[in-house]
Parts: sequence; structure tokens; C-alpha cells
Amino acid sequence: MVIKVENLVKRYGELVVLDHFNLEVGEGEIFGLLGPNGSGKSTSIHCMLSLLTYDKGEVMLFDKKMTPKSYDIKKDIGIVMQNVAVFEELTVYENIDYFCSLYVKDKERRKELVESAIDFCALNSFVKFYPAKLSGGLLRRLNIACGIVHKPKLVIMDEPTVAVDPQSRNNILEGIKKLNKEGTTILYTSHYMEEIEQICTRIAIMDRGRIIAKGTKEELKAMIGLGEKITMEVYQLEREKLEELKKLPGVKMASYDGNILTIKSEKGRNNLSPILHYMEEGNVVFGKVYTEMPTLNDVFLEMTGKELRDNG
Amino acid sequence: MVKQIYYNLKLVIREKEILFWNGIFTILLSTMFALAFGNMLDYEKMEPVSMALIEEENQENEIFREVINALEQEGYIKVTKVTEEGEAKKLLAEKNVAAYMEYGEELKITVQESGYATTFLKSVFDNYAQKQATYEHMMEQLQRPLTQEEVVRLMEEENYFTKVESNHAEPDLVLNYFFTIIAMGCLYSGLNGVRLVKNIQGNQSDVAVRNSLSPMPRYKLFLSSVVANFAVQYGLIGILVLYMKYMLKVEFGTHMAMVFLVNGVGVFMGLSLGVLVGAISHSKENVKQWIVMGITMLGCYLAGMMDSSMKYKVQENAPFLAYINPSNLLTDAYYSLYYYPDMERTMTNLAIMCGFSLLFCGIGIFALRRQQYESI
Ligand SMILES: Nc1ncnc2c1ncn2[C@@H]1O[C@H](COP(=O)(O)OP(=O)(O)OP(=O)(O)O)[C@@H](O)[C@H]1O
Ligand SMILES: [Mg+2]
Repeated sequence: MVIKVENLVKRYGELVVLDHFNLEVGEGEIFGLLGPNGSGKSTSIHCMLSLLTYDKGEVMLFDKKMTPKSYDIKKDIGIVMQNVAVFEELTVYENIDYFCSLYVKDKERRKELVESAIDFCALNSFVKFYPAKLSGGLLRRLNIACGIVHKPKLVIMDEPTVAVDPQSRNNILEGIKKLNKEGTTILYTSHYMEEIEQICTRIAIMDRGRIIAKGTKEELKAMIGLGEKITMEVYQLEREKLEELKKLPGVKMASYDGNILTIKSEKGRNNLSPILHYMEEGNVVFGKVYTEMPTLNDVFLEMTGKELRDNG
Repeated sequence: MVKQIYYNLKLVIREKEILFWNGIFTILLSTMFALAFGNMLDYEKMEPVSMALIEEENQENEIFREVINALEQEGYIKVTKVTEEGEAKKLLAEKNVAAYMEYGEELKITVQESGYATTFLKSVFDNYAQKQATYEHMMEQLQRPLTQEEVVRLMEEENYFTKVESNHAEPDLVLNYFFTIIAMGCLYSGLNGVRLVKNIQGNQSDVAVRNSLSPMPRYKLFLSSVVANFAVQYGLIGILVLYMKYMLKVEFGTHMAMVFLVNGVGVFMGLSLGVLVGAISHSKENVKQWIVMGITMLGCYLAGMMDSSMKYKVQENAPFLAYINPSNLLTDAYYSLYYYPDMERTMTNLAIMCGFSLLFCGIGIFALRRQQYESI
């Protein structure tokens, strides 16, 4: 196990931020930690790295107990924290080189590493820029470059894509996959389920300081009794028809609101064709039709009764 | 560690705000002082020191009378003659004179406040008292009272009133203003101290988190930062001193090497102060910077930056404060180097400053040892 956290408890006074938090991440994984704002993702990382004290629990990294002075463990870890951590007074190149110098003494080797990190984060045209002159996305990329430059075995990324436009976000996610292919284990936190679904091999869902479910995304989705979701634009729908729809076999829930008909199916059912059939029979006029499989948000919703984030 | 020092140097040099206070501000301020005091730097224009002399009946001390006359004629002192001690006391209390003197069998000088005037008078008369025998001996040999010229010549030979126990032509209060500026510059290194702590203390900044999660031990991060900050600050103060000496013609005395030693101790004390404030205070960085600047400015004020008599007032009324005020210790170290031929006073100042530096730094490092925080 690269990361093994057992029964971690962290309190801020009365507030229990981590409540018997458990985590295991194996070598070569991209492990996603998904949770809404304030669920304790960052806190768990800070505790794992012995930056924060904790009230209870044990943290093993690379099968060794992690303490603030575990320099032999620290040298194999790369950190990309939620807040951008670079020196305003140093250029892009100098920042990366400085942080690399904390890990790598050899000059030649360091030069190689720094250049490869610059390539990796596509910062080549910006090496002489000061951070203040970089756009938000570039700054995040610099933040990542500083964290991974020494080619660590384990990279911990805490919401590295916050406030990044979709284009840069995709670059970053692709980069993370590439890093993983080169053999790096990655712990990735986010409150964007799409990101987590896109890159992670295993996922843990976190709420109020606890892991409430973990597994692959398929496993997670299989945990809830929900199948595909059908959304239709319907211009007029009588009440009786909606009730009839609800009674169709395999339909778990149907609602009609503002010209949008939403039908949620039971797990493992394919309901699209019987529904379309029904609509045609009943002469219901409809426009666009979408179907989607349940998302991690649905999983979260079912497990906690609340949305993962405001807009679902 | 070399690489860390290298990058820390870059950090310090590119930190514009701190560079302004330590580099440009002090140079500007000293230039302004030089312009304002331009004519005061001209030593010839020293005001005579006023003193009262109690004239009693049947005074025998001829030589002393001559000495007084000579000093007055040369414009060193201005004598008000009184007949009773009460009168003299009143003059002293009203600050019309800096001291009064009785002479009879024994020479007695009473001073009110310390300051240049009284230091001067005391030195002259202490010295005279010591040399009195020599004068008497000379008179005996000559079989007549000494003439005024002879007295002046003798005294100039002895050099005790022109040199006043110092190795310089004239003591100069104006210099004190410049020395307070150097002291201020040294102590502003505290701003660097605050900043360097911020960069390595995990609960103070994001880069500090990165730094402290690296395998570089804390003490190495700290040391490389201290070395770089010290080097830059020391350089800046060096430039300031040379600028004062060669451009503004400020007198530093003959021990320039010692001046640079004092610079070093001063910068180190400033840095330590900053490290201490940075490590133990939980306020925001700018609040800590205000604390450092506040301590420095208040200290400089008490050391006579705005009004040089302040320094003597403090020394007189609250000597303890003079000893614990870092600005005053530094100012006084420079002044003593210029003023006194021996190093005793400078050494005392240096020793106290080293003590403070080690104390500040020690507490600071103790607080910095923590690498795991309750909250970040
Ligand atoms: N220093 C602190 N003192 C008190 N409470 C804190 C402190 N730091 C964090 N918290 C609380 O701990 C909880 C977890 O915070 P944390 O930053 O770990 O959440 P997160 O999952 O990383 O959220 P986000 O997605 O917003 O980054 C929050 O409720 C937060 O208010
Ligand atoms: Mg967070």
C-alpha cells in the first residue's frame, strides 16, 4: 500500500472534521477522493502529510509511519495543494528549479527534470514569466510543475483544477493520466464528479469527514437502485398521462416541470423504447430526448440526501 | 544548500518593499538630514557651553581662574558669575546653564542633565583636577602666575579640552541623527526576518507548506534563508555607511573596521527580532511588519532621531530603557566608536546586542521547531 490511513479523527474544537476516516491507495492507482466543499478533503491530506496534528488514527505512507521528520518518505511525494504555492519573486523556471533543488542536488539531473516538468505542463513559452503575469490556468500548471518536478512515486493533488477553464482543465487531466502511465501513484481530490469519473481508477466518496462509499465508478453506481435517466422536452402533458407513465414497468420516478419530463428508471432496465412507444400511442408531442446513466451525483444524492454541488 | 541560498538571495533582492525601507529610504532620509543640518555639520559653529561659576571671597585658585578665562575667550564656554550657590542652582534649574561650578580648596561641578554640554564640561574639569599639580609645579618654577597664553598652550598640549577624552576634534551631536538612521536600517532587517519565517513556517503561507513537505530539513531552510537575508542587508547597510562617509561627510572616527562589525551585529539583531516576531506572533504578515517597524521607530525616537537631547533624557531618567532599546544600543555603539578613544563602551554595547540577538533568535528558533500544526 502506498497510502494507508486508519481511523483518522481530526477535531477543531467541537467541530469534527475527520470522523474515523479510512483510506487505502495501492501502487499505480489514480485514486479519486470526491466530496462537497467542506467535507474534509484538504484536511485529510494535511493530516496524512503530518502537517496537521490529529486526535486519533494512524497514517502509513509506503508502509512506513509518517511523521513531520520522515524525510525519506517526503522525498518520494509530490504535492499539489489547493492553493497555488509559488514565489512571486521568482520566474516560472526559477520556481520549478527551486522546488526541485529541495529534492535533487545533482545539477545536471535537476536541469533535466526541470525541463521535463516544463514540457509536461506546457510552460515552455512562459519560463521567464513571473507568476503575477500568468493567467489562472497557467498558474495552476506552474503549481503542478513545482509539485511533480522531482518525479515522485506518489503525487497528491488537492483540487488542482479549481478556477481553471475547461480547455486547461482537460490538459491537466490528460497530464495526470500520462503521469500515472509512467508509474506514478496519484491521489486526486475534487468536488467535480466529471473529473473524477474521467480519470480515476478508484473513487472514494466523502461527506462530513467520513468515507461513505468506495470502489470503481461502476461499482459505486451499482450500489444505488437507479438506472438510466430519460429527459424529454414535452410541450403538453396531462396529469393522467404522467400518472400512467409512472405506472409503466421499470419506471421508478417521473416528473413534469416546465416542459421537461424526467423519468428515472430502475436499475438494469432499458426503458427508452417502451416510453417512446407510449408517447406515440398517446399522441404526446415531444422534442429533444436525452438519456444518461446515473452520475456520481446521483450516487451521492441517494446516499446523503443532498446534491454534491449546487447545480447538480 | 548553495542553491537555496542562491534563490533566497534572489527572493530578497526582488522583494521591493523591504528593499525600499532598507535601501532607498535610509539613503533618502540621511540625505535629507544632511541638507537640513548642512551648517551644523560645520564644527566651527559650535555654541559655547554656558555654565555658572560661584565666586567666593578670597579665592586662591589662580590657575583655575586663568583656565576659565582662557576657555571663555576661546569661545568654548560662556560663564555667568554668581556669588551664592542658591543663585547657581536656580540658573541650573531654569536650564540657563548646563552646569555650575564651585572652586575653592576643591573643585566641584554640578550638572543637571547629561548631554554633550555636561560631558564636555565634566571632562575638562576632571582632567584639570588631575593635572592641577602639574600647573602648581610649573608656577612654582616660574615664580609667577601663568599667563593666559601659557594656560591655553598648556591645555592644547594636553589636548584635554579640544579632545575632551575623545580622539576627535569636536564631539558632534548632529552625528547622532545619522547614527540613528543606520540603526534604523539595521533593525529594518526585521522585515526580512518576518518574511523568512513566513516562507518556512507551514501555517503561515502556501510556499511554506511546500517547503516543509520537502525532504529538506527545517534548519537548512532556515539557515540558507538567514544567510541570504543577512548578506543583502549587510551589503545595504555597508552602502549606507559609505554613502554617509564619502558623500555626506559624516564622521565615523578612525575605527572603520569596527563600524562594519557593528553593522553586522546590528543587522543580525534586526533579523533576530524579525524572526522572533514572525515566529511567535499569530498576526498577519503586515501586522508583524508594523510591529517590527514600530519597535524600530519608537526605539530610534528614544535614541534621538528627532531630537538628540532625547537620548540623554532617556539615559538620565530611564537608563534601563537605554540599555534595552536596540536602536539606542546601535546608535550609541556608533557614537562611542567615534567619540571615545577606547573601545570599552562600544564593546559593552556590542555585548548587549549579541545577547539580545541570541535571545531573540533562540526563542524564535524554539518556536520554529514545531513542524506540525493544530490548524493551518
Ligand atoms: N483552521 C480551521 N479551524 C476550524 N475549522 C476549520 C479549519 N480548517 C478547516 N476547517 C473546517 O473543516 C472542514 C473541512 O475543511 P476542508 O478544507 O478539509 O474541506 P475540503 O473538503 O477540502 O473543502 P473544499 O472543497 O472547499 O476545499 C470545513 O468545515 C472547514 O470549515
Ligand atoms: Mg480543500
